[in-house]
Amino acid sequence: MKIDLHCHTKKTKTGDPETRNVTKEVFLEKLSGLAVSFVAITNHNHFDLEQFKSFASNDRGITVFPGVELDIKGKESNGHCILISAPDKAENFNEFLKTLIGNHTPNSFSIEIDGFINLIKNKEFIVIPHYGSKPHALKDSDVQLLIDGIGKIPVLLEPSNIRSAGIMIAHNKSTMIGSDVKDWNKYSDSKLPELKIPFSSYDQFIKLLKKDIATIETFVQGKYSEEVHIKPDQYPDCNVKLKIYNDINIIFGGKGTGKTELILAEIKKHFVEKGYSDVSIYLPNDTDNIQEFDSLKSNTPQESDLSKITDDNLENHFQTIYNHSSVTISPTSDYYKWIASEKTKSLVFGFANSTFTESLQISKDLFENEKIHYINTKKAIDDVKIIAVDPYLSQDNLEYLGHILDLLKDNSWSKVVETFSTYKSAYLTKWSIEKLKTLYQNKKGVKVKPTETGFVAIFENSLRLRNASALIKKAMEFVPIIEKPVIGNLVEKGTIYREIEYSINPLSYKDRYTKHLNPGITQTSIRSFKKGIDDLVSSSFSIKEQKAIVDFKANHGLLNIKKLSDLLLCNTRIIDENNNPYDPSPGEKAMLLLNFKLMDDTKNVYILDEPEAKVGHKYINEVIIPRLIELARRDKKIIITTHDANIAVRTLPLLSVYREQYREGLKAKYRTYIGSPFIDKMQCYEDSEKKLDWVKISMETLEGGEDAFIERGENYGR
Amino acid sequence: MADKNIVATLKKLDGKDVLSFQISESKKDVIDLNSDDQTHLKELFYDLIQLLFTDDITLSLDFDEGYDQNNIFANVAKEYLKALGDEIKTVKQNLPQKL
Repeated sequence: MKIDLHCHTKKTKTGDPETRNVTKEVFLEKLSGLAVSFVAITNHNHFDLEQFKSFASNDRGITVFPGVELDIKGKESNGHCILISAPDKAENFNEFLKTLIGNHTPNSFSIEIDGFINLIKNKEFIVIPHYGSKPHALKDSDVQLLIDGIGKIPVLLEPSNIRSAGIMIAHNKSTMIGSDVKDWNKYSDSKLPELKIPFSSYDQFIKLLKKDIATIETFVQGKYSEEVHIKPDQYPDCNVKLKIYNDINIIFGGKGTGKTELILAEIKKHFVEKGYSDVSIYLPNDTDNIQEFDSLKSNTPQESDLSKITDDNLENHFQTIYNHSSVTISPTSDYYKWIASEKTKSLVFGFANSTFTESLQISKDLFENEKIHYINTKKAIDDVKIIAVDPYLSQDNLEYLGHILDLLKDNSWSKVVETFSTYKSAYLTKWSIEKLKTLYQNKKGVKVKPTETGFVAIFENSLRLRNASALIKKAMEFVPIIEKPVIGNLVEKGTIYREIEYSINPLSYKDRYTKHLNPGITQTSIRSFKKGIDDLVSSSFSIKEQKAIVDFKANHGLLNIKKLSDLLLCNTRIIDENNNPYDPSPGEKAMLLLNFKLMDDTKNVYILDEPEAKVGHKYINEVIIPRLIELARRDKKIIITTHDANIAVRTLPLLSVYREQYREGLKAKYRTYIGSPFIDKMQCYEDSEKKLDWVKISMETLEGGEDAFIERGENYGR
Repeated sequence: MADKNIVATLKKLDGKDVLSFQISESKKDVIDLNSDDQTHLKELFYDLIQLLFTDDITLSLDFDEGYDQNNIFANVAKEYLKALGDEIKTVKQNLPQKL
């Protein structure tokens, strides 16, 4: 979510370029392209109410604030100052500006700073003077006059660039960068601030700018995950309860203050003991990294990996072949005995002479297909319902979509019930006929009419065998399935991948694959297996099928192949962007392993111990920090010990834990401070009287402190 | 798909009453009507399934010249062919589209 509080939509002054004029369509398109959610229209000395209303009425989820960029005559400087109002006060804002500007043109208007202050004092505006090296900046003394004079109105300073904004944040000044767009064709090049704490209204934004604790707490509580009690047995004086957020949680402090041994170890223990299976742990130790990285190159396929070859349930089909047996059919002598029995022939009861000609297998297959269809349909509908479609559909359309999806689900379920009834009805009919006949035969000692000749049963049995063998044959002819998950990025070398080939195709087997095969299974035996499957397919629905299945089973027994996944092979290698094998250096392995662990978004908890060690600040800045921010946005729990100010500052962690060492006599003692950049305070856990300034302690303690604040200009958070 | 009538001829062969199914010009399946044998019956069934992929088949009963049509095996043959014909219809409806 980005914000642009300095945006032009019109050429109003003579010096303004024509390319500032923009249509509503282009305006919305360009803002959407940069993911801007809030924008203020701030043309020079001019406010167009109709254009504001038109642009504000959009279906892109973009909130438009009414605003203006005014010429101010200060005591020591002349400069520009942006004034922004609430969207629901646009009419009042328009009247206010009409009175203010009067008969002036945008070119001729300007106002003395004292008059300006008197006009806006304590009103619900946001004021953003140009500052520093930005053109038309007001001097410090005039800005201070403005800040002191306008009461409770939030003042943000607009410097020339993000670097300057960072410097100002480091010196405790609130800043804001806007696009100040001059050419809408180049709007996508604008560097706009990200919003760490989202807001949904102008009022909420004002509260955020005033560091309203309740507003910040509402956001923070939404991210709250769980409490971790840090009470290690070997350090009885350490007894801290930490709220770990679904966000970035930073632990910093000098060396030897127990960041890793106490805090991180206890947090890790907490999540492991609570049964979290989705915990990713990164340690900076070289040996661990290299070993863990090298394990990425070996891969033993799992049974479940067979599903990568095809969606068909191949293992079940293999078992169908493995368990296949011939069916018994009614011999002609049974018909002779029935006809020869005078008693039975003369029976008037239907059941003794009844037959059953339906295919139970077919009706069962129909039911199973409908069942699968229903399960898939229900899952797809549930998935659609999870997606937040509300912003994209009107209420009527939402209701219509809900109605159609429910109808689809109901109809699919009706089909399941219908086919189940058909199948079970046929099954029970056949079962009843056979049961009654058996009872009658046993009681009377005569033969009744056979229920079926066995022709349908022979066909069904062949059909099962043929379907199973044909699907396996097809899968064995597939080219290898290649997965290419990204391991990570090396700044100079580009993206590095882990390539995994899966195959059960004997033609694709090479020496490098076979090392994964179970003992007793060779390339020759796999080819023999494939020939057996081919024979089954080619002999299907013919008398040769019986010999083919006997041969296959005999062969299969010799081949030690108990299940189809025994034949699944995979080959893993590390490759670069050009698909060439790549052998990273130990340092690169550490970088890639760290990146790989953070790329795995199946995890919910990421525990990183000094990730900056071994990988360098450049890699942290360019690759790791953007990923950490991305994971935090997705509500993952990230707990990091660090000495790197870039990680501690630029990620805007919801929880910062600072460990301080002090001396009591000759004895070293420790304190734990807890805080966040949003309130700029760190509160001592053990002594409520002790407080630290978050910015100050971060800059003093962490490596690269001031630079980190300079870089942090990209992230708005305070 | 062409219509094809498979004629099953009831006759005496080596003292046994048999049904001889004319599968093709060169192939006949001979079934002893008072036998527990499964092998020959299964071969007949597979032959009929194969034919079903290309032809719309029906079965009809014929008697060898001089065969006593009041013989009990005439009834056995009629009942058997009727049951088999019904099951052929079921299979025909559920044949896979292609092999």
